[in-house]
Amino acid sequence: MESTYDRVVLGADVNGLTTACMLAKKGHKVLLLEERNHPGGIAMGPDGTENGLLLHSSLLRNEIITTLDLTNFGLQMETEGPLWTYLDENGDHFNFRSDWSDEAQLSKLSEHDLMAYREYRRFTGKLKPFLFKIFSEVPPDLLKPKSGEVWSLLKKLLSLKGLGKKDLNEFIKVAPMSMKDFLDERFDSDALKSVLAMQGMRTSFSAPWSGYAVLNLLIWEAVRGKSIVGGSRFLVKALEQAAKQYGVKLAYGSQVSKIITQKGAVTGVSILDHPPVKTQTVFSTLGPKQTFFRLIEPSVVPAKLEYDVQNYRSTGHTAVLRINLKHLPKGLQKESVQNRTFLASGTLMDIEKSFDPVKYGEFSNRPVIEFSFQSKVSGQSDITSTVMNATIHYIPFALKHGWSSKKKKELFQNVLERINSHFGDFSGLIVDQRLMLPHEIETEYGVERGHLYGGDHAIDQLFSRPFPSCARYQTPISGLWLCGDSTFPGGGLSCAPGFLCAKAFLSR
Amino acid sequence: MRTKYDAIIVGGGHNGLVCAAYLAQAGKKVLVLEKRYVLGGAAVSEEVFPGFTFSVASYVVSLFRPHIIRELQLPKHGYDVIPMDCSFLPLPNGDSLARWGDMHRSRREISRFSKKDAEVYPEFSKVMTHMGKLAKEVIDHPAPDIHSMKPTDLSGMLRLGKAFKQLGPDLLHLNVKLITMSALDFLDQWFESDILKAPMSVSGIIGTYLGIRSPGTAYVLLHHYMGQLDGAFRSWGFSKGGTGGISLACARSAMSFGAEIRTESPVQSVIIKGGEAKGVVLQNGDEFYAKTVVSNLDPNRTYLKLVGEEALPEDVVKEVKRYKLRGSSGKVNLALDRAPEFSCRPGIGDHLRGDIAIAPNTEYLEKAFDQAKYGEFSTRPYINAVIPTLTDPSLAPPGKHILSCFVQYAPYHIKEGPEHWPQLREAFGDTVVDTMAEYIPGLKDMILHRQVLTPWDLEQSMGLTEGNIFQGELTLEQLLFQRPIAGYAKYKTPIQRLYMCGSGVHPGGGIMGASGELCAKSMLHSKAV
Repeated sequence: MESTYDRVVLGADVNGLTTACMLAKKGHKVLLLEERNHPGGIAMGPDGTENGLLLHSSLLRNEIITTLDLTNFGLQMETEGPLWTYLDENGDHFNFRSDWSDEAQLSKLSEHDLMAYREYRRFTGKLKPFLFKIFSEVPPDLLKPKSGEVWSLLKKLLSLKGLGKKDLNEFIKVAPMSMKDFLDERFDSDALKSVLAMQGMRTSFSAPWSGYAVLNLLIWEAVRGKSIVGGSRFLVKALEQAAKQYGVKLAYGSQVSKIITQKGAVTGVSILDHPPVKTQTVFSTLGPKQTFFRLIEPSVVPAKLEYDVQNYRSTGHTAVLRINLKHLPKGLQKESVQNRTFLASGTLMDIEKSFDPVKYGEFSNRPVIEFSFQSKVSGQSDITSTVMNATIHYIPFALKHGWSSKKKKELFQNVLERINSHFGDFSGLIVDQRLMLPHEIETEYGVERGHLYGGDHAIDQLFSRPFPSCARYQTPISGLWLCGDSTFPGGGLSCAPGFLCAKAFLSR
Repeated sequence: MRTKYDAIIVGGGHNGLVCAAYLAQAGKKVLVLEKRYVLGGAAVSEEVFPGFTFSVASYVVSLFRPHIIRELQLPKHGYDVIPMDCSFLPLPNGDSLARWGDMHRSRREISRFSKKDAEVYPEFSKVMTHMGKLAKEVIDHPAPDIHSMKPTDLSGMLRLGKAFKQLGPDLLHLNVKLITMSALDFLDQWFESDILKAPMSVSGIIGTYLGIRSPGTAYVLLHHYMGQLDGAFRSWGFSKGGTGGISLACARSAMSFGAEIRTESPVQSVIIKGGEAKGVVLQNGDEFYAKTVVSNLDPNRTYLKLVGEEALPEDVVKEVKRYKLRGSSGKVNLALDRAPEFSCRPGIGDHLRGDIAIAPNTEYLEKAFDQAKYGEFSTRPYINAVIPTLTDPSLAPPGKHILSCFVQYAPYHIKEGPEHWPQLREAFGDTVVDTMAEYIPGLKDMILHRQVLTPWDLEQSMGLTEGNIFQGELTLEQLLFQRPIAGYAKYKTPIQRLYMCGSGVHPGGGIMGASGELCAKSMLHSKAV
């Protein structure tokens, strides 16, 4: 590590890596500091060899793959979108391909649902170009709009008119709706309803009865793509290779203790057990609370900014479970679990009932579970082991009377019971397991309040993300930029926040 | 019998009467047909028990537009609204919180629970009142149609754009929060005390099938800051003679301009010929003809009952059926032997002359909603109670009082099916009385009579489909140019010469009179009548 860099990026998650690559590619001298001993953030498992906490990696934009030439660095994309398997309460299951390419899989649907579903596909397909464009560009400056931006915003709005009166009306009507109202209007199939509902609810504190979730579903439909072969860890590997190639200085195991400022402008960063590094520009992948309350001198943070940071809603309600298994549960083969996610949720009403307790700081005895399997080849031997990754909703960050090992055990039993009801032999397959509660995710992965998407994707935190004064990545503190999941367009391993931040910086 | 009118108004609710008054004032020949023996719709006063006059359904007023009062000369016709000065919150632990019209007094009370909240409280009121003025801009004009390139719509949008721009960036963001956040999340950003947040958050859920944690409820908080009495913002009031007094004033005003009003004249259907409304048929077979027909009924009744599916385009029928009504509240009116006293703040003081909220904490309120989600009435409900007789003793015999309780949640769609509400009616009434009795010792012995209205009863007696007190949910997808359905939001319908003037059209909800006024004005403006 040298003593001076043009730009310092804090956090080597997929966004930090993307920002660093983009800047280095343009000839900037970039230092990327990462607290853990390996890159990836939540996209990489605990020891740097497994997939991370999120089960999906299908939001990566083609534009980023080509700009950073990631295919050359080993990134491979699946030819199809992820497969969803809804586990029915009566032991049956239901498969959907998330790009819904394969209509044969929909044959279990009733004639009515199939028609409604085709109409849904047509409608979301019509919205896709418009929403995709919005979520692929640096958001306009709503505080001080420049004429060019106003024009481009107007153009976007006019392009909405191209939807035609009927679809535009429908879009405006359904966007603020709750999943329940929206899906009940269309479909009868519980499987279809639950799988779709989860896509719009995962990123916020919402359940089927909560309003505005439909907008998130429509956005997801517009930006989702193919999955990464092997999962999120291969995205991290490709980005790491790219960063090395473009000349980014990668410093793992470096704990940043302060962002140094003088007269309200960034001048460097302090690193634990290391001399400070001078720089004029710092890019933080950390959340606003960590960036502004932990790394910045309090006197430098203006009162309004402090208020906004305080009120940014980023409390996670998802626990993560990782189980090493002897082998896959009966009926599943190695090939059949690739690029596939299972959902044990029950109907929309069941999901809502799983959600109710979290509002009071409690958890349900029937949590909603999404899970997938991955095979892991350990270093020396050629023995393949099987790992199950699961995300469990809705788990309070702060339990009413505090978390204890007893309570944690109880939660694990609840989860196990539900999985057992679908795979009878499951308990017997467990070699070891680790359940991580939201506050443990925060400690271990440095993710603010354990929120896996960098803060709720609620409307007021989506387009002006995290809040208006930082909505275009630049913060009120001169030389400090945000480039993590807490910036537009939000979390989900799309790399888009890092990419757009670098773009905004380079075109400033 | 064959007199031809310029306009027939179906339904004598307060909006229908306001509409009639404006049309009559413009010299039109108007006939109002009301199903019941009494006028007012949900804004009605009835002597339900000898000597006791209840504001049966709607019980307080705040949003009635001041210019309507002026233009229709309502005070001359008996309009008299007495401001309510207090919002009282009794607590189960014997404590209580009263918020007063006098800000200093409120702050003193709040500071007992949180010094910080007491400091923030005036600032919050200021900001909300400011935002309320913007909302006023919205409710005082027809909602512009976003598809239209007509000058009126464009200028309407421009006017709104300007009003929003004047807010400045910070308030604009706050506005986005207000429209999309939940009432509780929004209040969490301002206050720390649950005891303050609980009674404040309920203004976000009144009349909705949503909870204080449901996104979209923060917006309804504004309604509390939009109220205008005598031009003063954010005050609520009691109508002299009950809320029916307002309807009667509107009716007298309409009659003074020459309108004809007939009660006990239920309309069966609208006569339609060649896609045009020609008049109406009563249930007894009588026919009345007019150049225009205006329906004060909710969109569901207007389209599906008065007009009928067969006369409507298929996509309109589909949209009308999507329109959500889902009533969520009931009403329990009690005739009392004496004035009720609260154990937490004894005496019959000024704190009882406003509204009284049973909303002890936010968890209580959200749990009340949880039950409703699954089709049960809340066994621990949110109650907003008033004792109108302390302000207007003429409503009850000397020394006697009325305790009128608005109760949420009582979902129309209970899991047994709405037609089973009559069997649950008394249990529902008992729940409310039991809850109130926790705060009012000896309440049960004071009760002389009780009237329990479930959403089913509101539908049966007042014609409010699914018992929805606002003629349709006030959620974003059913507001502005989408109320009740996109394309027919500006008081028109697909049937030529058939108009709508109830709460089911913009701006909808509450005793505002705005829907009736805007309907009449837009009819006159377009020379439809």
